[in-house]
Amino acid sequence: MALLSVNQLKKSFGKVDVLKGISFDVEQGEVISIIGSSGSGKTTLFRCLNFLERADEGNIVLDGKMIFDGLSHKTYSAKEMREKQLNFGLVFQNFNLFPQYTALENVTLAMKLLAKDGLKSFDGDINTVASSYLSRVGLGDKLSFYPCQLSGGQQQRVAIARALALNPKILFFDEPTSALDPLLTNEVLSTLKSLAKENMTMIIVTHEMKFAKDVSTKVIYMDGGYIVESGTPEQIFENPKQPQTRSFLSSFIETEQK
Amino acid sequence: MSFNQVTQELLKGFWQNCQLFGLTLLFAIPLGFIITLGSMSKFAPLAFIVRRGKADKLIKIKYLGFIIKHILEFKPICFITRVFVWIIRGTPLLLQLLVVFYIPGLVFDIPMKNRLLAALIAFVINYAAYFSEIYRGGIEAIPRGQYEAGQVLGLTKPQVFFKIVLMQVFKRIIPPMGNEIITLVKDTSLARIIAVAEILKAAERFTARGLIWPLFYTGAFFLLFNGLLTIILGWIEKKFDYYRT
Ligand SMILES: Nc1ncnc2c1ncn2[C@@H]1O[C@H](COP(=O)(O)OP(=O)(O)O)[C@@H](O)[C@H]1O
Ligand SMILES: [Mg+2]
Repeated sequence: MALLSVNQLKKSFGKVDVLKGISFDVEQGEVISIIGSSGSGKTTLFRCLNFLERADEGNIVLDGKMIFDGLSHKTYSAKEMREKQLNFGLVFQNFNLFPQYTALENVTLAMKLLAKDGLKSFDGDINTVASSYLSRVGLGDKLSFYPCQLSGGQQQRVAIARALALNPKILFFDEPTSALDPLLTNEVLSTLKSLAKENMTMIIVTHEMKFAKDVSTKVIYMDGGYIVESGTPEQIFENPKQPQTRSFLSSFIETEQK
Repeated sequence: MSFNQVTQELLKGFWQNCQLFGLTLLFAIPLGFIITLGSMSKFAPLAFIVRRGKADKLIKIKYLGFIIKHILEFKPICFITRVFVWIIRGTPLLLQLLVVFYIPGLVFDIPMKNRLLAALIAFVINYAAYFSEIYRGGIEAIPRGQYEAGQVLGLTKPQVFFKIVLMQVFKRIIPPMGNEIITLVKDTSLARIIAVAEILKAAERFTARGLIWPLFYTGAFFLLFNGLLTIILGWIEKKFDYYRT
């Protein structure tokens, strides 16, 4: 049974249909890359899966349990939503660190509040656990630095540690390196690679095709609110079946060569 | 009249300014926050009453739908507070002082006996309106990503507000609040229009007796007080300097 199963998810803003029926499955330990030109609905999909938006139709099943149903979501209580939220972690394109807190405090803030509310428990002292997550992303020596004292790549890695520390079943990354220059991009990508090696289940929206090819177990190509094609990296990058996928990838190769 | 005697008299007057200043801040700072809550209220009773499905149909009516949509989305609390703020910010404080002092007597036949209290009420209302707009600006300037990052980490709305947003709002509102507070020091002199015995009023008593210099001397009191405030405000601003947004 799939860890996550997304079925016929639809979302529109007013008259604009942004998601027109998205379905896919995620197995435990999979690394899925979502590619597609901008405006194709990738961010909206992530926002719906993380409950920053409510989808209009469709459902989301996690571990065999329906955690979102387009038919009944209006009846979910705030407490219920909060518990559903904690199944997933989301890393944003522009990090969204809390500027008034140090790297360590950024990680511990939610840990402490959730522990206090009895929603999560951690093995050992929260500060120690949080520092070990920061060490894992290579920032063990930056615990007391404020976000404004860190490079973009370091900030993004704090954001990754912050999400990881809550032990989500699936971690979502929305263009985690789009705000970074190439050098910093690589340090974040290598962090993602090491997470992939540790069997973290991840779904990553990215324009880094080489990374998608090397790391993913599955690639999804989205366009115009649909999943046009999905498959193994080999299938998508070397042998795309749909003409749309082909033209998207060829336009990508052209711009990369420029 | 010796310099010392004049100083004593002016100090007595300035004590009134200080009282007005301190009490106005004490009440206007929290009242401003309540006004902010009102002006940011999203409470729209009609949209709440009309079932969603029905409202959608009404909104789709040609031409009229646009108007219906606005009526349904009408937010009474937000509207009333913003009109109130518009009136307070749109009329002179001097006029507001006169209104608070004279209207109770003229309309309700209960004359305001305590002039300082009348001045205080006018100042608190006026400054609370200004503060509320500063607070609102500060809250609205916090990027949506901060709320969303908190939400995906499983925090409740109050936790997001108090643990994440509030400190950032503080940092943003300190400079504009500082400006308003320094303006307030000088504005307290306006209370003489309703015969509060503040420092300028005290100086004018000397002028009436042919002594001009005490009037100019009052400037020194304001400068000293504001100098002190500037130092304190600068110190508070520095406290928040350890991070940038
Ligand atoms: N809150 C919103 N209101 C209206 N339109 C939106 C909103 N969010 C996204 N859209 C629209 O949805 C489409 C898909 O956006 P998005 O999901 O951000 O795409 P992507 O992440 O693939 O670039 C865009 O056309 C965008 O303008
Ligand atoms: Mg996007």
